[in-house]
Amino acid sequence: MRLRNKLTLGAALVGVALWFVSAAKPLDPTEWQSQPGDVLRGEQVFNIGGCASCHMEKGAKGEARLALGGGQAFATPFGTFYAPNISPSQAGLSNWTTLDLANALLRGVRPDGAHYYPVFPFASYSRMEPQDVADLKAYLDSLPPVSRVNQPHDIPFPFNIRRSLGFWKLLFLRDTPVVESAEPRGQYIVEGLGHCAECHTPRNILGGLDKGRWLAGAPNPEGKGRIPNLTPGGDLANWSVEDIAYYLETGFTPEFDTAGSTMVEVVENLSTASAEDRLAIARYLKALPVLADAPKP
Amino acid sequence: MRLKTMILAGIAGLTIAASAYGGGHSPVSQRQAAMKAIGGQMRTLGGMAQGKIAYDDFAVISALEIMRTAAASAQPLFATEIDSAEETRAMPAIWAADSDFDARIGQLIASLDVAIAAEPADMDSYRPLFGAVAGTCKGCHEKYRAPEE
Repeated sequence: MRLRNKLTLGAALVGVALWFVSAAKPLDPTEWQSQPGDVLRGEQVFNIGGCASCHMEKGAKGEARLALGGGQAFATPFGTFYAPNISPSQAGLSNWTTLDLANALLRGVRPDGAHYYPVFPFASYSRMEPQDVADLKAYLDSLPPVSRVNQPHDIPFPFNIRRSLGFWKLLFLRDTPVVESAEPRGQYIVEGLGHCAECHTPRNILGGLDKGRWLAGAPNPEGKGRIPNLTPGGDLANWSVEDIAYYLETGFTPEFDTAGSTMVEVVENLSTASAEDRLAIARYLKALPVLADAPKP
Repeated sequence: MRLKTMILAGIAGLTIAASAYGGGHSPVSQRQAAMKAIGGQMRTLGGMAQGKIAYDDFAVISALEIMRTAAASAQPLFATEIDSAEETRAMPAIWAADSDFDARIGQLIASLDVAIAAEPADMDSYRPLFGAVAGTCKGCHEKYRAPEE
């Protein structure tokens, strides 16, 4: 804990020193190119991206999953964050352009130029295709408006200095592939849009993903248990590609045990993806560098 | 066929039940044995729904009967909260005032009864029946089973 304090203090000092490089770096509007968005394709992007899981009301089922008023609390080592309203209302995104959404997803930048906190997984979404952003925008605009206004994040010093996130981004925000893969679609979903690594990869002391332990499992931020190792060095060693795809569709393991915890939501989302996308995810995972489970604490 | 099926399935069910709930075990381990027995049959039933195992209507009825026996014996074992040092993933919410846990086991049993009565002869008639049974597992685990340590 003392080491952690020293390091975080150090990080804060460096952040101040690098004030001039810590500015938000939005996309160049003249280079942004996308066709008008397609609502149906956007629905697929929305489901694979798992947007509802965080932006709906906690535990919402059925149609209520599409009321994206935000408000869910996320307790992290850096403070408690409250999901924002992303419905098409004044309290949400009704004034946003597609470029605004692209800046949020690809660069972690708000329309007013401030940084988002990486609890919003832009460090994965940074790999999204521009057309997927445009399609997602079209779909979000088609959802019901929710007027709910959410409370501000509850974050202690020094993490409440948004500017310091520019430094975090210098260290951890990349839009390049993480591992070599012969499965581009699976790679796009797992490393980018589906942001699987955000939970399945352990984080370093600054909250960046430890790419040396890519998808090798991590402590559960909600406390109990561990988030599973997805490389062939863990429990998935004995799962076939079809087993993984079936799990993502139905939530049943090859032993016919059921998915648990937050993975229930992920399965709900991915069950609406195409069978080919689920197989692509599975093929990417089966070809990952083999990493053994971390020793039990 | 119907009678023979029922007799054989009944014997299979009793055998499993007897081995799973043999005397001397605590209610917690009896509960876990019942759930394991259900899980074991789900592997057969799920494998067939996936097309991994060749469809066999007799094996389906047998597995469903065993599951029904196990589910029916599990229901009373969950009736009251047991204060025990044993490791369990059963969440206290099962015994909360607003719990629908008992109703959910009831739904599992009802879905099994429907599937058994339907005597599905082929995959097309079997798949939705299996889906209904499997759905009850998932819904209840999501609400009342804690994640693995």
